[in-house]
Amino acid sequence: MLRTPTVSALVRNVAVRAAKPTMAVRAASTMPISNPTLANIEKRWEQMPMQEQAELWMALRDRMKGNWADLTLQEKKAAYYIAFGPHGPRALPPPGEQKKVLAYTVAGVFLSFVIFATMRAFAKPPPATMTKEWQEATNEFLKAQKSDPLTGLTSEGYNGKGHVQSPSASA
Amino acid sequence: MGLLFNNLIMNFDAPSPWGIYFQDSATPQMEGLVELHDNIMYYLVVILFGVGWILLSIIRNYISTKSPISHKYLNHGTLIELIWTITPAVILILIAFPSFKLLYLMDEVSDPSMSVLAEGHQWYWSYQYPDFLDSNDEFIEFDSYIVPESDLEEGALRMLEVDNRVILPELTHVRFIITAGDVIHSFAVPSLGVKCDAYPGRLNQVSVFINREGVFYGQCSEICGILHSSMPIVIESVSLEKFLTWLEEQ
Ligand SMILES: [Cu+2]
Repeated sequence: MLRTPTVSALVRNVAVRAAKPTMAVRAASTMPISNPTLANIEKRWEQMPMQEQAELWMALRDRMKGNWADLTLQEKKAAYYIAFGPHGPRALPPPGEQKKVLAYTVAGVFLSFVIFATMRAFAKPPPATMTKEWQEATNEFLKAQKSDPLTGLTSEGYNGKGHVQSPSASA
Repeated sequence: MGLLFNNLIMNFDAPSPWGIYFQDSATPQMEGLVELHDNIMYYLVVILFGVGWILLSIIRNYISTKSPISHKYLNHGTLIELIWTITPAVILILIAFPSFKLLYLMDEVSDPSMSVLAEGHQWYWSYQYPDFLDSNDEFIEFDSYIVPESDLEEGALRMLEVDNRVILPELTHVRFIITAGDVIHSFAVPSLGVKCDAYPGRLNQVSVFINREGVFYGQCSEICGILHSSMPIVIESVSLEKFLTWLEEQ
């Protein structure tokens, strides 16, 4: 198959020339390419030998040197497909690819969670200070030393929970 | 709403559960840092929504189902490139000026009335007051170790309390001289706006002017070994009279 840069370089040359009709070089072949040669190009292109691909593309390029309005519908379709169609680097993903990616991702995340949960099961319990009672005492402790007087615990009109965040020890 | 505000937007001079903003500041430096942060946050929000909106509209308008032709020859546009080069440059300048101003202001050690030497060790801080002598005619000097969980006074802050707090007078220019005895540590107290690396064989200095009484917590901020998390810093700011009383007792 033609490598994309080559094709795009060709297309660029063609486009430049087409944009300047006075510079246009009359193509050697002014005969339309036969329909059977171009029929179903979308299905056949990728299986074609490189030599044939090159020849077909060269033929189309020569045709495009002339007036684009003279191209047959088949030729226009084929030229567009070869230059921009979903083959090579633009090939569409095989069917079911999205589901496969999703499945592998979910499996990976699940596996990490299992590893995390296993390690967590062997962890130490939370420290003794992570109880509601201790945290209420922390609020008193910080009030006694006037912590956070601007906007926090000992500020005017404060009504938040302060350091209380854990359930009671008896619960 | 009030509860949400208190839980999310609150300032502290001791760390708080789920705190996402600064602790209450106690020095002019920290006031400056908070203000700089808020200023830069303004640009960040504008940029976040601007870039996010551009990105989303490109995705929505040029998605392959809506726009099947490849825009193969749309390579550049001078005007848009000028806009997206010059705008960030201007924003960076707008951020750089207040940032440098604050940086050089904070660097200044303005005529300190007293100095405190803080020396990091594996894993505790030791302090020296080279301006004052104790009852044995030696510099006031002490080590400051973490209070382990089992010895905590009821309600004290776990992993943050120390046995010997640094006592400083309020409304006084104090110079901290910071060094280390073994490996690199970092002396950091968020509410004072101080974070300074402590290197063995090198003296760094920061200036601190605490403008209120209070207790300010900090931690070693340069990974220094296995008990890096267990060498907190506690600075207690007291009135000048109380400070003098404390000096008498040494
Ligand atoms: Cu350290």
